[in-house]
Amino acid sequence: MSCAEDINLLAVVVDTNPAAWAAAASDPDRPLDFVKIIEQLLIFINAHLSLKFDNELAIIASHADQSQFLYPLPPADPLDAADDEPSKPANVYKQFFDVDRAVVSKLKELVDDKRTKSAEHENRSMVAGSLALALSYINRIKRANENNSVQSRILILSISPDLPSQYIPTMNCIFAAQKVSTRIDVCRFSGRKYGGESVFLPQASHITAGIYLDIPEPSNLLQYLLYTFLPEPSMRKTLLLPHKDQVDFRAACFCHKNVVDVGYVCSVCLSIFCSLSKKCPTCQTVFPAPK
Amino acid sequence: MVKARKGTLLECDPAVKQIVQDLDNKKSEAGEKRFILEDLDETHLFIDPCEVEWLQKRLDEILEENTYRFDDVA
Amino acid sequence: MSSSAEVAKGVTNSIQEYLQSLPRQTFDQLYAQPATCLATLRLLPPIAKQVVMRLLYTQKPVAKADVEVWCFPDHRGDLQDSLSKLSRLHICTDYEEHLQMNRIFQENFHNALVGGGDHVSFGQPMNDNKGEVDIALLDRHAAESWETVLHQLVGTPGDRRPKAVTKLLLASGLQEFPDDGGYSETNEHQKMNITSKGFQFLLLDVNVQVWSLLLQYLGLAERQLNMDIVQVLNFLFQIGSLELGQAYSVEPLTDTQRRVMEDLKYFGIFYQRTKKSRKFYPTRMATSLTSGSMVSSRKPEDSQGYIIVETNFRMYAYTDSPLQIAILSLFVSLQARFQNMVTGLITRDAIREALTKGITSDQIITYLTAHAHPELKKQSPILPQTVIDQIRLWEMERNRLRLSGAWLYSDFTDLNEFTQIVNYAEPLGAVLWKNEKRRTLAVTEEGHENVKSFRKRAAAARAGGAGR
Repeated sequence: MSCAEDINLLAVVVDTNPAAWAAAASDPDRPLDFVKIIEQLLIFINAHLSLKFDNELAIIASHADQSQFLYPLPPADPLDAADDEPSKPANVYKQFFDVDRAVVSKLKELVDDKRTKSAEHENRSMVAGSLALALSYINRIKRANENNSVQSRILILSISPDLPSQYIPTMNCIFAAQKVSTRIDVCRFSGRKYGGESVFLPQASHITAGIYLDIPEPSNLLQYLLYTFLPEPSMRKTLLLPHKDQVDFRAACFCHKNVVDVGYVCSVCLSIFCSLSKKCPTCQTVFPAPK
Repeated sequence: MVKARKGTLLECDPAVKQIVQDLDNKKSEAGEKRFILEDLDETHLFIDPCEVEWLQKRLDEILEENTYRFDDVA
Repeated sequence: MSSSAEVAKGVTNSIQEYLQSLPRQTFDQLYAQPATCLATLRLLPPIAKQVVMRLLYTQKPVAKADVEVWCFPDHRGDLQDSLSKLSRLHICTDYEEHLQMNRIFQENFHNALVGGGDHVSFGQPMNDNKGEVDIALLDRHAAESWETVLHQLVGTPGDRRPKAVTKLLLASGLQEFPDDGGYSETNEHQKMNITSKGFQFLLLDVNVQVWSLLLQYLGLAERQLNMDIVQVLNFLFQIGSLELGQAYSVEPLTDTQRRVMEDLKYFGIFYQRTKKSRKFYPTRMATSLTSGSMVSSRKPEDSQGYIIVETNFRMYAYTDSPLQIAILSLFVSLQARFQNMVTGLITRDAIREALTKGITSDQIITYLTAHAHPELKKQSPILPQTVIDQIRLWEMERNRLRLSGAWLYSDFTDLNEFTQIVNYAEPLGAVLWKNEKRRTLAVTEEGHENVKSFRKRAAAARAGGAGR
């Protein structure tokens, strides 16, 4: 039973796919400024931390080829070296200061990282990996706090298209989240040149009783975040929050990423194809030829 | 004519009421004045206010005699 | 709700009540400090918090009708409660069916969230060059200081009796002088006695204790010490946002706030190496002050229970702290003392003595349950049912008879007259007992006067009517 005395853990997965954000910045109708988006996200995160002194937080960047924790950082990280730590000014609440500083510097590091330069042009984001990281962190926090119950939820800020090769890992993460009673909320940006319909993420929200929201007006992102995604799970039955009426349960075929109404399903791994083949590309099962 | 008397209303459980009535009877047998002015119902008595202090003390003594103590038994 | 959650709620409620008693102008000054805005937000019920967050970035007033549909219909009542709380704390104003957030609160909360504004509300940290002060030292200091305060309250021998503590204990009614006089230079060395309120205080949860003393301190500051209540409150809310183990500079504090820190040092809320030191350290008591959560949940050693109660009314307490033993001796007949343990018997006499001192059976049972040994906590109910029931019965024994001065009205010839008087006296709460069959009625002494004049008036009316 959720109640107001529980610890609230919010894990934010930020889609930092450079190609998608670059496309969004140059979109003629609704351009997005990544820096402004991050600013509004940080205010939202501070708002979450200000609600209760024991609210917990995790932020993960879902990059084109890797997933990285932006906060909290492992203790041995050189960023936390006490000597060159800039001293906190007196007009900033310590927790906010720590989080903001960590996120900004880690993001800079991520963007400057030479190793990812090659993957920059690929329009993809490792959402499944980030979800897995988030879920492991949630599990760890739950174990550490066995006396109090922990209410956990994940918020995904998504802009990249779905990756068909990630269908299975994503679905596995979604079911794992369902098992640990973690809601997955999705905040989706779409415009003419970026975003587009996602097929997996609305299913994630639907299965875990989370909220899926397409942001119509990105300049007002903060209001959407505060109104829709800030209330903790125990408040969700009190406040009226938007939900997606029609979830597209159709799966995408794994070979062409076309949405199929009727298709062929592998009996082992349940992956969906539009045409028949001898071997399932996903689980490598060989099908006997039809007689 | 309606009578109005000043006194003290005693509210208690039936057991205590019996004890109080017994005390009252003993007093009358000893030739002293009764202190119960009126027997109202099973749980209420109307008594003379001058005797209240004496009554409380005596009642405490009686109740003390009748308590079960286990500390000496241990 | 668990009992610790109930305590948290109780503490939050008492702080809210205190704040609601302040005048409106005070709030404008209070909300000028972002730390206060943050602390006040954390005290609100969940729905109120969400309302505040939603209105935070809204410039124009929002129609109340719009706000009402934010909630599901069956929770509208909770929403109304939250809205009225917000308006009593002057966070939102209700004007012409529109809700508008207090501009000062809004602006300063923005500053809190984005880390802007020209203020020193969140404490200026300083580097601890010598590195001698660590969290263990702070915990020890807090525990020792608090124990000293409680020792002073109970009257166990001790040498440190700071004036500030004495004054506060006296002002909050926890201690009194034998001659019932006030504090003055002449009798400051006289031994003070603990009052019935003081006994009850001893059995409370430590968070409740700290907060009730702080609230008393606030009252004292206002009335006697002529301190600016706004600065004191701002300081108290600020320390709730400080970090444990970090040194903070004394520079940004005003004189009033420095005085508060001096006074509260004796209660173990702060630690300062010397009186003239330029920095101070908040202890765990300070940092969890406005969190509304349990100090004990972060300090496992302290919340370790040590009392075992058996069904034969024997009690074993694994402690050697004189304070805890003194508290136990209030309602337990202690029999033997060992190096690490004290044994006793929960006797009728001991409980009755505690009851005469003003301690209730509920407080005794709550105290025993809260400090029960972990082994005992595994069973349910924690204390043996026989013991719980017997303590309650011993309390009820004292209430076996209830006496009240009264006037007995009897011999009514007219039933109407009887009913008239009953109908008149009952709404006044003057009827102690009545019996219609016997037409007899008992009224309180105060009620008697009213009934007498009523009867006179009624008789006059009858005489006047009959005379016609």
